[in-house]
Amino acid sequence: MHLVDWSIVIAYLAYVIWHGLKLSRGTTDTEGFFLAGRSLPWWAVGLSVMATQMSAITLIGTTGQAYEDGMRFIQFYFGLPLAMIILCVTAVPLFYRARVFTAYEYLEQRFDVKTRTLTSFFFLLSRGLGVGVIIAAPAVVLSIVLGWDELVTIFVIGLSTTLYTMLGGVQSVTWTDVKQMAIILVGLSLCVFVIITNLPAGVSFNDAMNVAGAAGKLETIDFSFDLNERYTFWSGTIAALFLFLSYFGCDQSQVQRYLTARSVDEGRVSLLMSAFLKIPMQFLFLLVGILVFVFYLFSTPPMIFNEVDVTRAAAVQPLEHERLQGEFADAHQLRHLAALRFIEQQNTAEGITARADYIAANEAYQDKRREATEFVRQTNGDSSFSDVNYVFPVFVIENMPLGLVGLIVAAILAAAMSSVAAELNALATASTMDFYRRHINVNSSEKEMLRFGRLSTLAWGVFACIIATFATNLGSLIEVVNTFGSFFYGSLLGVFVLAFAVPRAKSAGAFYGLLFGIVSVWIASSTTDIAFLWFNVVGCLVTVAAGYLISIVR
Amino acid sequence: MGEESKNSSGKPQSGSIGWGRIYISVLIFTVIVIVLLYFFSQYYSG
Repeated sequence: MHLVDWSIVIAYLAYVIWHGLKLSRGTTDTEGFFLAGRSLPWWAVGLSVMATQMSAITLIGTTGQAYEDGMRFIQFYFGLPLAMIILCVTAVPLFYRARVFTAYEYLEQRFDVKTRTLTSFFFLLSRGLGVGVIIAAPAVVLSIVLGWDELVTIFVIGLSTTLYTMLGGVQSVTWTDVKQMAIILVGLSLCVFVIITNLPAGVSFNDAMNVAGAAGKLETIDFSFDLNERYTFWSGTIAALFLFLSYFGCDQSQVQRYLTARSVDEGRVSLLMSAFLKIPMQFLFLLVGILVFVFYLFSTPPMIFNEVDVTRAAAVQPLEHERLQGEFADAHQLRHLAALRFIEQQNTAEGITARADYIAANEAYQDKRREATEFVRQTNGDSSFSDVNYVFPVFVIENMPLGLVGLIVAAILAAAMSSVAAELNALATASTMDFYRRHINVNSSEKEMLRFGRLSTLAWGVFACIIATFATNLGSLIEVVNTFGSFFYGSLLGVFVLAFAVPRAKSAGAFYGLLFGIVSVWIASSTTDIAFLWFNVVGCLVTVAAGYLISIVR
Repeated sequence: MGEESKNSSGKPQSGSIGWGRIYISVLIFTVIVIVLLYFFSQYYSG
C-alpha cells in the first residue's frame, strides 16, 4: 500500500480511539455507560443495528461469494423485514417498558432468576467465543493481503476496539458505528463507480450485467424447496425469519442497540430502518462482487487469491503448479475473447452462438480454478481451503486508485470493529447486570458497577484476542463456535416466545424447554443433512412445545 | 416521533403514529424489492 493509503488507515484508527476517549468524559453512571441514558436518536441506533450485524467477514465474504457463486446469497435476507415488524410489535415495547439492561433480565421478571442466569450464561459463552472468530477471520485475510503478522492484525482490531468501547461505553460504540457505516457505504459506492468507469472501451454497464447474467451470476431467487440447500427463497423467508427473530430479539448485542433509543417509537423506527435498507444494501455488496467478476473477464486475475497458500503449494510441487498456471492463463484468454465476442454480437444473428461459446469458455475457466483450488488443498493438506474471502481485498489492493485502497481497508476494519465493539459492550453489560449485580455484589454502587463494566469490557476484549489467535490456526474451532451459536439461537428464541406469547408458560417450562431445544438441535445436526438455518426453526419449535408441556404438567 | 408514554403498550393509539400502515408499507416495499430482483435476474440471465 502507498503512504497515502496507510495514512488514511492510521487516521481512521486514531480517530475512533480519540472519539472513544472524548465520549468517556460524560459517562458517569451505568445507565449512561450501558444504555446511553436511553437518549439516542432513531437514525443513530438504526445505523448501529446495521453496523453490528455486518462484520468484516460479511463484507468481504459477501463480495467474494458473489464473485464465485453469484447473487443467490441475497435470499438469506428476505425474512428480515417481517422479523423486524414482529419485534416492533412484541420485543421492543416489552423490553423498553420493563426498563431492563439485558434481554435476559426480562426473563427473570417473567420467569425466575434461574432462567435468566442460564440464558445469559449461554449468551456469554457463545458470544465470548464468537467475538474471537469475528476478529480472527478478517485478521487472517488482512495479514496476508497487507503482509502484516497475524498477531498484529488481531491486536489492531481487537485492542483498539476494546479501548474505545471500554472508555466510552455504548455512546462510543453507537456514534463510532454511525461513522463506520458511512465509511463502508461511501467506500463500496466509490468502488462500484470506479469499476464501472474503468470497464473496457465499448463495454457498458448493461453489457457487464449481460456477461455476468450469462455466466449465471445474477440468479437471485431459487424457489426449490430443499432443506439441504443453504440459500433458497424458502430458507430465506421461513428459516432465516427465525434466525433474525432470535438475533435481533434475543441477542443482547442487538437488544442493547434499541434499548438506547429515546423512546419505544424511536426503537421501533431504528429496527424498521434495517427492514427497509438491508436488502438494497446487501444488493450493493453483491453487486461489487459481480463487478469484480466482470472486471477480471477483461484483465488477468490471480489463479488463487490467497498468495501465501498457493506459493506454499507451488514450492512443494513446482511443475504441477506451472502446468496449472499455464492452463489457467489459456482458459482466461479464451474466456476474455469469448466475452468480447459475445458483447459485440449479442444483438446480431450470431448472438446465440457467441453466448453459448462464452458460457462454455467460462465453464472451462471455472474448471481450471476448481482444479487449482484442489491442488492447493491436497498439496497443503488443508481440505477446507477456499480463497473466497481474499477476492475482494486482493482486488482492491491491486486495482483501486490511490486513496480508495486506504478507504476500503479502513472500511473492512470498520466493519470488523463495529461488530466487535457491540459484542464487547453487550458481553460487559450481561456480565455486570446478570452476574455481578445479581449474584456477586448485590448491593453494588453505581461507581462499582461502572468500574466492573469497564474492566469486564477489557477482560472480554483480551479474551477475544486470545481466542482469535487460536482460531486463526484451528479451522475447526471456527466451525465449533458457529455450530454452537446455531444450536443456541433457535432455542433461545423459543424461551422468549414462551415469555411473550404463552401466558401459561412457567419458569420450569422455560428452563427445561431451553435445554430440550438445544439437545434437539444437536440431534438434528448429527442425524440429518439439513442446512443450518433450519436448526433455528427446530430449536424454537421444540423449546416452545417442551416448555408448554412441562408448564402444564408441573 | 411520539413519546414513550403515548406508545408504551406497543399498540397503535388514537393520535399516535399509525404503526399498522407503516408495517404494511414495509412489507409492500419488501415484496416490490423481491419482485424487482426476480425480474432483474430473469432479464439478465435470459
